[in-house]
Amino acid sequence: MSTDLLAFLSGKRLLRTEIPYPDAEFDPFIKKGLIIKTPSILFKNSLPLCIRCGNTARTLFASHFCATCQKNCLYCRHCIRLGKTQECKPLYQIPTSNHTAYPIIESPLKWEGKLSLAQQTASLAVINTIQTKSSILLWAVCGAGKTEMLFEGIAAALERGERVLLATPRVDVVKELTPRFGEAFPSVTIASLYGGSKDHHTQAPFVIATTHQVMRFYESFDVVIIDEVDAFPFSYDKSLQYAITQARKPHSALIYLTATPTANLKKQKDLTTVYIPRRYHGYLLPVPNFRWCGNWRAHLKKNKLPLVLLKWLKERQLAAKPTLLFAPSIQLLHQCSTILQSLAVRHEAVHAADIDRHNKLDAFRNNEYSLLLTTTILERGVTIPNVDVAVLGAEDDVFTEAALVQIAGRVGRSADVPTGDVTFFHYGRTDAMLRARGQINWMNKREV
Amino acid sequence: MRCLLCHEQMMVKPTWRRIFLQEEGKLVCEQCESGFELLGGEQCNGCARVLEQKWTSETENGLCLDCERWQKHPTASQLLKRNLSLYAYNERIKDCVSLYKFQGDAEIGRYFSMKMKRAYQSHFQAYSPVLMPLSEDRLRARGFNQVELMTSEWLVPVVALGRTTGEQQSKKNRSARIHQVTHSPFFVEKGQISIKPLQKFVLIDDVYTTGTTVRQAAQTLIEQGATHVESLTLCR
Repeated sequence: MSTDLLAFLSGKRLLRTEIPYPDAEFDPFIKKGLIIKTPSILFKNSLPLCIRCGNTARTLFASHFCATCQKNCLYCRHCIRLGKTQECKPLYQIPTSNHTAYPIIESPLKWEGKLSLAQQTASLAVINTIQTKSSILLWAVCGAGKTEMLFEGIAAALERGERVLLATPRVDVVKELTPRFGEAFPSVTIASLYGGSKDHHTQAPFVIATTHQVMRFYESFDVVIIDEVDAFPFSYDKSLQYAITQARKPHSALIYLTATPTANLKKQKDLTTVYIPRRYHGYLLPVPNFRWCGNWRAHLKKNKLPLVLLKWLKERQLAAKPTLLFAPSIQLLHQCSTILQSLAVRHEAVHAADIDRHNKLDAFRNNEYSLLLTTTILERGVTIPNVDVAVLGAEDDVFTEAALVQIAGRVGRSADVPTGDVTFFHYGRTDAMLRARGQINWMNKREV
Repeated sequence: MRCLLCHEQMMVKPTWRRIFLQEEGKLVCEQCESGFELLGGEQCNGCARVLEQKWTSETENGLCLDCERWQKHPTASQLLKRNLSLYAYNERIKDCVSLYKFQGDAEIGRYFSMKMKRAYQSHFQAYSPVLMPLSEDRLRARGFNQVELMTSEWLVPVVALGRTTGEQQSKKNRSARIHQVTHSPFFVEKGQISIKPLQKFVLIDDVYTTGTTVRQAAQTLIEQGATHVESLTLCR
């Protein structure tokens, strides 16, 4: 009997179709109890629960007459892209006591940069959390240098033969972080998992994955770090919590990392919060200006931009300063774009469904043009040196407190140009706008 | 109500027809539906694909190059009279069909069912319907026959075909598929009524790619006495 199969299944919980071994090899392990079968759909008070993704929403289950089990068979629609969990299709795992042990990796960290004072405080907190197997919320302002704060803690875990998971909601972030960690930990195998990735190192000691991929693991990680925990669409919140709970060991460290924690996260009682109120370069966060611009929707209908906004844009065009303009919706984005075109202002516009998005963004970074219109798609994760930012219609519902803080956080990120202008053009201030500005001021006042 | 495809909430306006006639409302949001490309305009007389410059044959008989080639096929030229399809097989619907039949999200069949029903009722009322079958193995692996599931609510096929186990069509290239058009893996299930008096048939399938599969099934029907076979497929 091959032990490859057991090593393959270690720390995972999978459908039969996800296990690439023939029945002749697989079945003997089942008979001996070395592989355990659990139903993938359970009923609690006759209400279904998907064991893999935690889905309990009635509308996200469906059924059909199944040719395999010859009856009407319920399946989960929520996580179906990972393979179908169904009444007649169990999940397979090996007993947790048989999970592969990870070897001790000696001095894995080869990073030679220096941490700022604020980063050092955070780094110590991370190490402590990992050693005591507790939970922590790292509330770090945009541009604080979150990745570097994790280095020493992750190194400490790997040195003890522990397994680390870094989970994030977005594929872009997985792709961006993998090479950065690869450079810092050159001797460590890092698995980079997202939908469609070809990575087969699923047993690596360090895993960077989207939350969907986390659903394939079971009681495997000693350290779990969740990056940008608030960037999940609201409905995903529960499913994320569920996936993390399943993937981590019962006794393990949990680190939430964000610039804009949700109210729910702030309310959690047993969660220590560590603030990193300063950016890595030590300068304060730019505080947004509020500019009233009248009924801008009516202006747009007449194919005009509000004068204050036009003036603000022109100043930046003359200085050839890179400028981001956020619009509340794709439709409004296109309207603005048409108007700017008629004024012969050179610009591009990007949104989520735009296939050419990455090229346009690259050209913008290379200063090929200086004005980029965008929806909230660019609110996180982009760094453009020397950029100024404006929001048109900051009172719109899509601009939540978190979104506005993130948008303001695009400015002054590089050490060369640590300041810049953030202006919210609005037709009446909202609570979200005031709270966003309040949060930024509050962070700026905090001692490091 | 949530969109069947993206699971996002969508607004559905209540209408009198829906309340009194129990008419099924929108199942898919506008955002998702806008990704699908309904076939229309100038279409090939043989297979319903939209004729672009590059597909138009020189003889100008309203056939695309693919159908032109079928016309010249020594044994298969007369098997299929015509194919009717609803959608162009673009990336969006490809993803959707794949989620439905390969990943097994049976619920999506409700949407396709609605669309197929309309096409069937306006074009094929006078025909005897036949569903494309799966082989026993594939049926067990997949859990359901995707064509049966998207027609079962409104259609009772008169004749059932069976399929012997073989390689999956979508894993072969075009020439391999066309080459084996005369080796039909299909057979008429035992204990059925006679085919001969029914004469006109419509084969129902999900995707028409090269047209080999429907022609193979057509051949099986013709051998049993059918005189006229057309096909209705979701995508071309």
